[in-house]
Amino acid sequence: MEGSNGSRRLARGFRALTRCATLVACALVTASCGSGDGFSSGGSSGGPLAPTFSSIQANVFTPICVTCHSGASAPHGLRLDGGNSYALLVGVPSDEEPSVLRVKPNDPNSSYLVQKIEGTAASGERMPAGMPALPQTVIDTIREWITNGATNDTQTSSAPIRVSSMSPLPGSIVTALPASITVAFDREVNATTVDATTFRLERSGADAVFGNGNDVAITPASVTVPAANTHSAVMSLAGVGSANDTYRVTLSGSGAAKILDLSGSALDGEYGGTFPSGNGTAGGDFVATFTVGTVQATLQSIQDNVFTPICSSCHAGVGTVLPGSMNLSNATASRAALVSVASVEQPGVQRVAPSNSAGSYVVQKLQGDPGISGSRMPFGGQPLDQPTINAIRQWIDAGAP
Amino acid sequence: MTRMLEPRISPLVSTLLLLGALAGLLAGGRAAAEPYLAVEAGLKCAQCHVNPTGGGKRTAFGELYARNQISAQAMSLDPSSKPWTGDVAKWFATGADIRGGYDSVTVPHQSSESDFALTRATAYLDFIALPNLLQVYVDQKVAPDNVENREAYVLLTPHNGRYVVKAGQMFLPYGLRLQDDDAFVRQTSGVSFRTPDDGIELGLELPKWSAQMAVTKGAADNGSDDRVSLSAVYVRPRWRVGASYNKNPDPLGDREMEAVFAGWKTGPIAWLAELDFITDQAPTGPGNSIYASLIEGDWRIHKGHNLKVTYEFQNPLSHQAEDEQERYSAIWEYSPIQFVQSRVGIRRYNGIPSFPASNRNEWFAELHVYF
Repeated sequence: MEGSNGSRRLARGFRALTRCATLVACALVTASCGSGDGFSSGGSSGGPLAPTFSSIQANVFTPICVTCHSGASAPHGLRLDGGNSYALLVGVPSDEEPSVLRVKPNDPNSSYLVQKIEGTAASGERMPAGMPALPQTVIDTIREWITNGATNDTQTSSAPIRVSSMSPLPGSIVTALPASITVAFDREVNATTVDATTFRLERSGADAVFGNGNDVAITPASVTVPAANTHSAVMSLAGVGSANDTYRVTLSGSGAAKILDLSGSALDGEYGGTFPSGNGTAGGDFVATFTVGTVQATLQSIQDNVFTPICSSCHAGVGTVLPGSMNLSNATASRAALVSVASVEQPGVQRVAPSNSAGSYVVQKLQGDPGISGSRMPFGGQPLDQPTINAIRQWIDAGAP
Repeated sequence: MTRMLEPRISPLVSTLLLLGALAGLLAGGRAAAEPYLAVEAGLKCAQCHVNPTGGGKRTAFGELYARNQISAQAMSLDPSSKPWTGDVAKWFATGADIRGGYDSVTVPHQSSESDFALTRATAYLDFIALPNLLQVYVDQKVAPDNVENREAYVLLTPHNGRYVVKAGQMFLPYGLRLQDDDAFVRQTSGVSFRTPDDGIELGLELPKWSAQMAVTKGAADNGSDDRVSLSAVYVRPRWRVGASYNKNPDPLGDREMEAVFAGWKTGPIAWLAELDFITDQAPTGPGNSIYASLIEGDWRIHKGHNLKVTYEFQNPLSHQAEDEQERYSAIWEYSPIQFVQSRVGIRRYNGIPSFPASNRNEWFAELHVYF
């Protein structure tokens, strides 16, 4: 009993000292440390957990995740406070695994959030870090919210609607014009304002320059807001011929015809390379480009579509160290630099091992495989789309002729 | 604050605290990057770690300090050779930390969960290009799961280490570099062994001062301005005091953090304290203020044995009432020899009443192998 009392006194001493310090500092620095309603004895501010965004925010994100995932230091830039979480989750590629969306509406299995809280994600530790795993009932509720479309029931008219993702990714290279272009918004969009006037596609006329008189407007088969996911808009390109070119997607947030949310707030569309779009003020067009380049499973095609336009700016055959020492500026040089040549970063692996694409370091680097040294290629740019990587693999598996 | 948290140390917790102390007295520590060791020794972090701001690979002095001053026995595996210092060749040194063990978590109204797991294995590589001037340092997590680069930088230490320049991926200088990434002051600041950053750090190592300034790209690679971290500590043999500042610009709202921290000795006990204030701006509407604190006492009961007791407090959301959280820990660390440390501990969380997991109890047993 004496020891127990002593340890109690010790603990009380710690607590008293720290509390004293924190209270003094709190008085100096913050005039108020909280007011209004919140976590009451009767339950959290969101009530019992339900498959809605507001409930998940109040019962999971705010009390558990925000401790680390808040402010400008939030891991991987993922803020999960109430003001930012939806825009940074729904339709946004994961920072750890960019090919996976953090929340993919209607598809919990393909949502990185679910993979992280279930411990099945390819990268990093299970969330919440340093805490017990979430009960399965909680995970199931989050799954149900995503299955139901991952809608946002907390939107107010004060914040403008923003674009949270686009497929194909802005800046990406695809081998053929996709069957459709899908954009996701961070809240429900007014479907009547989304049509071929406010959601447009054009291509550059093969010069990658827009506005010089040779642009080609694309007439889509349809532009719709799917009833299953009213946070998105889909442009169907059925029947539209594919041409190798740079394509530009425009969503109108200004002008006479513009995209609105349900409260009449205009799209906050300015896009600077990261999602969500916008500058915090309603109005402004969303403009993003992607490229169609038909990569064949031949070295010359890969050279023309990948090595020359993307890689050779760094891998130019200059100097004695990487990246300059690896010359990918033309097909002859690329063959000499790649085929059956040992990697510098991992000398036990050939850059291109003929007939063995999985064991070729160039493929591992392009895919960002876990075992690679250094960064995924292209360095600092968007990863190649899978069809392009597949074309390179096919060329290697054919013996790298 | 509208509610003062009630003291919740139960008889069970108190008994375990006592048992930990008694066990230490009956038997007769070594940890990784633990600031209390620096306070205990009256030295700066750079004395025992390659990284001047602490953590990661130990210097030859750090290895010998662990062997001779902290471990119960200064044992050599091969008495005919000199003790292990990490030096493999004149130009290369290495080291590692491997942690694993058992933990049990009890959440109110739920059944207990327990697990054996490898917590973390990290390997350190130190290439000495020019002795006492130029090194290339790599800190790599190798398990569990995928390999992960934690730190990799060029380290330049001109004027016999008076100036320090780091360039590459690194942990940021901010507050006390505690080994426990789940400590509130580490979680809330977002500066921990989980969150390295890319950039450059300039340091100044004077006899009584250690100061750093780092400019890094920040957690969100979104084109925002660079993140700036400043930290300085004044070190005396029996006490030290320091302060840190961090500014992290971001289009979604800047973050500013300030911390004051200290360490001092009273007899066999080394004390640590840190207080953090964090302000998150928001593009529209009110921002958020966070504060977190820690006080820790490390009682060197006997050579090879340390009893660590901590109390932590945090208020994560200034606009949310009654979300304050407390964390109590009592950990007994036993280091029989230079390369091995065992830890047995209990933790109690006291948090949001309606959120059971924030009121959980944990106990754990960990084996830490290092060299």
